[in-house]
Amino acid sequence: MERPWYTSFNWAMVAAAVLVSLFGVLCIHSADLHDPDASGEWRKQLIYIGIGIAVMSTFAAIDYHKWQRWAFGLYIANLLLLGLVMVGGRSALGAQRWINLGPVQFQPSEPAKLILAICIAALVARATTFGWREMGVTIGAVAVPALLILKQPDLGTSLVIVAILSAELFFGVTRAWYFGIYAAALGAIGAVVVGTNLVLRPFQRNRLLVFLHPDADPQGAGWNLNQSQIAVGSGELFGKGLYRGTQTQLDFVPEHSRDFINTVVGEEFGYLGEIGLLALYAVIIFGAVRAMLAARDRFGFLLAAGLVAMLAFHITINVGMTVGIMPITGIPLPLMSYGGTAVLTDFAAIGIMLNIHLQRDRLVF
Amino acid sequence: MKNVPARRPLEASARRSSGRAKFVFYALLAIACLVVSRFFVVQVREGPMLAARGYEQRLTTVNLAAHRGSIFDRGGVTLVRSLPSQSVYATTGEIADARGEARTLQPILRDLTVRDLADSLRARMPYIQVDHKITREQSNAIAKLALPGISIVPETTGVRFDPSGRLASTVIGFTGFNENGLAGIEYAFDDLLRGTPGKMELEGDEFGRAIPFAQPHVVIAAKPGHSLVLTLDSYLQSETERVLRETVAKWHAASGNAIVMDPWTGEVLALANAPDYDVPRYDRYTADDRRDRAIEDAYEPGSVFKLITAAAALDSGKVTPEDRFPARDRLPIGGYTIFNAEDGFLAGSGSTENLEEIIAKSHNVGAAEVGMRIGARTMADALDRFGFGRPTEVGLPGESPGIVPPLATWSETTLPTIAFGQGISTTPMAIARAYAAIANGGLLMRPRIVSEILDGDGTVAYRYAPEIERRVMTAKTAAVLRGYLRAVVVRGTGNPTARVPGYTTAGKTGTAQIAENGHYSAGAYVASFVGLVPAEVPKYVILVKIERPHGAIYGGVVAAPAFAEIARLAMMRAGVLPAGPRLVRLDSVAKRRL
Repeated sequence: MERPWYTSFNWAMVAAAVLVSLFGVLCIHSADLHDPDASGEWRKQLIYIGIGIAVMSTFAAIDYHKWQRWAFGLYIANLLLLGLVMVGGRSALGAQRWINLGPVQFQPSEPAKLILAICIAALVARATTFGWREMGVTIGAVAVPALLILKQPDLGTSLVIVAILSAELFFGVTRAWYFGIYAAALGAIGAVVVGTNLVLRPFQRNRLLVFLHPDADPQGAGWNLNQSQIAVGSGELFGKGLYRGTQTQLDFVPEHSRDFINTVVGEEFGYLGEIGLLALYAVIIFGAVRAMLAARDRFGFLLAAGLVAMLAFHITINVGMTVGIMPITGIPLPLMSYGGTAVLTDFAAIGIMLNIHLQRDRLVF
Repeated sequence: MKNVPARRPLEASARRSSGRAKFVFYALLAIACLVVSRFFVVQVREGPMLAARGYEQRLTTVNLAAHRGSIFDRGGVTLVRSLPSQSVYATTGEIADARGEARTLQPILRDLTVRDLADSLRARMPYIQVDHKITREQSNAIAKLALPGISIVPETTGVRFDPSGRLASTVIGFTGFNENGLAGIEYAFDDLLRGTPGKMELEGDEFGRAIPFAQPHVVIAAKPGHSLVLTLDSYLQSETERVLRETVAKWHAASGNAIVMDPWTGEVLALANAPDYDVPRYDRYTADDRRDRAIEDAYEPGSVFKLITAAAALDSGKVTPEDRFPARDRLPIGGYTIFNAEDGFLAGSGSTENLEEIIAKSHNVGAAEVGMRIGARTMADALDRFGFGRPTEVGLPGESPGIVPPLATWSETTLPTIAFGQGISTTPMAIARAYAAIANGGLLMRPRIVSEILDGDGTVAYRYAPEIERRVMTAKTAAVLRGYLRAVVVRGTGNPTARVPGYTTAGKTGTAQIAENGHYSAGAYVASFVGLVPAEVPKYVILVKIERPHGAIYGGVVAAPAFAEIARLAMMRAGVLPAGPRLVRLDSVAKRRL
């Protein structure tokens, strides 16, 4: 007899995810308090979270092996969507990332991360030994959609995809030094990207590097960083209290309901609030790592590794950029930042990991 | 991937990966420690410093408007006051429909076209001033619209509000963009009227707008400017302006001015100029229209000046009222000939005339003879005593001192010419003051137009007392001269145009030629009348001067009726009812009834 499903379900992870997302609604409401144009964001986010929980439940119920089977189809669909953005997408803030779907916009680069995590896992898991040839095929398959996203331009998401790829290769390569070569190559490419204007536009490079010397241009490239540090720092130990964050509410910090939502946490809830939020994220990441280690097969293991990388990278970069230890790349904070596609993607990823975790006791046929 | 994918057992890979998993676990742990400790540094160690920087950043210094002082008439009627004003700003990034908003705003901001407004709202700047100096009504209307990206910001200087528009405009003057006095009293008393702006530091957002849950604290309160109380009487000013305007229009004259003065105190109750201008739209008028001609323009006064000659003559004792001069209509002198005006009061020949007749009939030849009788020295002393050639210091800007040729340069013709008011120039204000001395018994008063300076709270900070400059003639001489002035109205050049039913008036007509390029031009005259009312103990000295009238040139025809009208209104205003017919015995009335 199998044990009933709910005894092996990772309830803590679900609870943490829902708590974080609802806390995010509170923070969005506070951030938009004095912005009449954005006053509806928190309600919309609440709807997205509702749909997200439904998606998470559905994905938790879907046998994750199905993803392995659907990987190729998903890959093609992903390319088509990204192509559609390139051709007929909606532009905002100098980037073309969205497809209009009536009242809402759809951002294909968000599910792309999930789809590529699946595809990489499928490619790596297929090979008995994972050598140079397999590595080349995998990297090639990832490069096409990643470059499409970079072209939007969406540097942050491209970097997330590189992180996912790196994590799955790290666990997938047969010999560790293969990964060493990959990492060295990645480092070299990184140096070219950051050091020259060949790949990035100058404004992207400035934004990337400004965290290294934030006071060089406090009114220009360093503005966001300085302001977000002032906001977070002025929260001190206990925070200023909900709805009393002057820096974030009053437009000193830009994009305060999206990429810089963490400044609301820092300013209004202080260091203790920040620790609390990070603890909830730790529960999610820990749950994801447990799912990874509990996976019954290579595909599940690699897929979970990719999703751990995705979440950890998102959280680290986003939270780190508000306090000046990570470059400002413009990626959202999972489950917190305002944005429907991102919230759905995050819940979907958690749903997949819940399923991987759920199946740890199943026998493999 | 078309086949059912092989479900590869984990065992082999797990063994291979356990070391890597550990590596990842520790890497995640290290990152977590890094992030947590960095937050500790930023929030706990640097927190207070960053909080202070945030506060500093929110602190905005707002300049507080200093209310510019008001200007009141002698009865406390507001002639000009300041109202707070606002600017309209646009945050262009928040405006989606620039043209639509421009169309909504235009009916409120009527000075701007829809195109101008739309251009501002579409500007490449993030924050732009759309309009300034808008009124409370306009800003309320805009606030009610609640258009996205449109905000109202109070200004540090207000706008001048002139309830009457053009009343006493040439006297009061106007202010520029920042309420800086540019003309008239606004200019002369600018330092007093202008207050000292204050400063307030408050917590604001990125655009310096005050934030809701912060304490604004005033650092230095604004000090409002002083207010001025003028000697003008707004009713009399208004009526004087009307009469003057009508007179100038009737005679198609180039310009005119009128002064009503209290001879006992030197207070100016009315000072009218035509043309004048509409203060709020001062920039649509020429500088010439905005001039205070009664102060700024020196002119050759003509016959009204004969009284100065007479005062000098009587006071010096060289001429008595009984002295008779040969009556003539022409007097050749120094290659020129002096003529009497052909105004129906010609002297004829063969007879004689005394000083009273010379003045009543305004004989130039007679006046010249009187002048030559007393001599240049006595005449020059009198001119100096009356203050001609010097400004009256009435307190208005741009005052002309007039021109008195220095005694050393006087030629054979200078003295007789000055004696009937040509070859010398002065301002209407100086003439009015000289006549005030005749009216009050011989004291030259300093003319005044400001009577009190008030503090911001309305208490009197300074009161100008009547100021006697000096005695310019004996009381007896003054009384004799008043008799002459009465004779002008009763049987001379002012009869009957300067008469006012029910009141006694006295005065002198003047018909002066205007010199242009060193010659008197034909047909260019100044017609004037300076009079007293009532004649016995005058309450008012009233001067009316009309420049370049057409159709008639004589002061008695052109200016005297305006004097009579102003005199009547002034007496009514002072509460002096016109004297009716003499009391009649009741029985005689009864008889007539029968």
